[in-house]
Amino acid sequence: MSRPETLPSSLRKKKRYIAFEILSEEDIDFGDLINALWSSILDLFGEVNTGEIDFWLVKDAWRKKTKRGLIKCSHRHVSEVRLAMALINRIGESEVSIRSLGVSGTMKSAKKKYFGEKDLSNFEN
Amino acid sequence: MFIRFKYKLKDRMDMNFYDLYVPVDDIEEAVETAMKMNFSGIGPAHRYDNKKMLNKYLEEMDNLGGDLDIDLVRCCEIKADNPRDMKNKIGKTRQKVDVILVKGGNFDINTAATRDRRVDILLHPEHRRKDTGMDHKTAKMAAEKNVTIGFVMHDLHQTYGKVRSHVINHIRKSIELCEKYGVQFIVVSGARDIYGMRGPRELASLPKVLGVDPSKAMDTVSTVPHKIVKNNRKKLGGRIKKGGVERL
Repeated sequence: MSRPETLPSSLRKKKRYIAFEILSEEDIDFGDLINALWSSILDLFGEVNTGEIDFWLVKDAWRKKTKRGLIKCSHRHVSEVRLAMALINRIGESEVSIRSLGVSGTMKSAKKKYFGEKDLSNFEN
Repeated sequence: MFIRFKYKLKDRMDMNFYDLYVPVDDIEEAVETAMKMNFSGIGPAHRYDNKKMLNKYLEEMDNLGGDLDIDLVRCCEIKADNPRDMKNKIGKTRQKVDVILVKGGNFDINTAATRDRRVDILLHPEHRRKDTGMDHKTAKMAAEKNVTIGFVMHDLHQTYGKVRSHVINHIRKSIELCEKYGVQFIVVSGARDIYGMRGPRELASLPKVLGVDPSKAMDTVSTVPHKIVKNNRKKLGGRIKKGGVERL
């Protein structure tokens, strides 16, 4: 199937990745997390502004064991996402507190910095 | 340009973050969570009821604060029915605690608190009201008497939909008044348990989203509360005399 080509970097929208950690006693279901984040952000900013924020929860980056994950958003709206995260106090049935670990420009560096994952591309022997 | 940015970044990293209103039951657990969230200081607030309870709270704080990496601030929340009651309670607690917080909401209390130099922070003046709980006169007086306005994140956790939008709107209007008259304001979590606690950057995102300059928004959780604590400790230690003269 044909796909549109990736835009040149000058035309691409700038983005940021927010690494977060969930403080809770119970395990968190990823589906519940998506619902909680989307409903919080939609309630707070409405449909039009949420479009501008360009919010996306990265599924591959969710670590169930450590309850850490990555949120992708526009580089101008990091604080909006942080506020929406701060207003969540319940995911599914469990009481939670979400704290942001930091912000990064790429997924690779976010995982390296905040998840402690090692880059093995230059691994010798 | 690059060097300027680098220094700015360094300044940000050296910041001392404070949350001065955390009225939790389990102080130890709250302190542990605050350390995880990179706070330099936390104020597990005690709601003043009687002298005996206050002394018990102070004793607990003294026992905890010995070998911690975090600054434990002794905060007392005053909930009063009328201005007279408020003044009475402040008189009993001022010399014993670092920070005095007055719970707002009642307009008479809001006005009386902004006129009293002994008050450090007036908490949520818009609490359970259909207006901001502040007018230009209260704002002017607060600036003159050095009373800080505190906005509580817990109020947003407790509400949703229409009511939350009203609360946010009232906070926005109060911030506008504060900026116009030079009143200092801070954002506190007001957490009742550890799940209500939020990190410093999450707290700062509230004024940032409401249109406050980003560096000023960060000051609401760092410079402003730190200054309040520092100045009060100097005053309580007898280093600042009446009239603002400091003994070096």
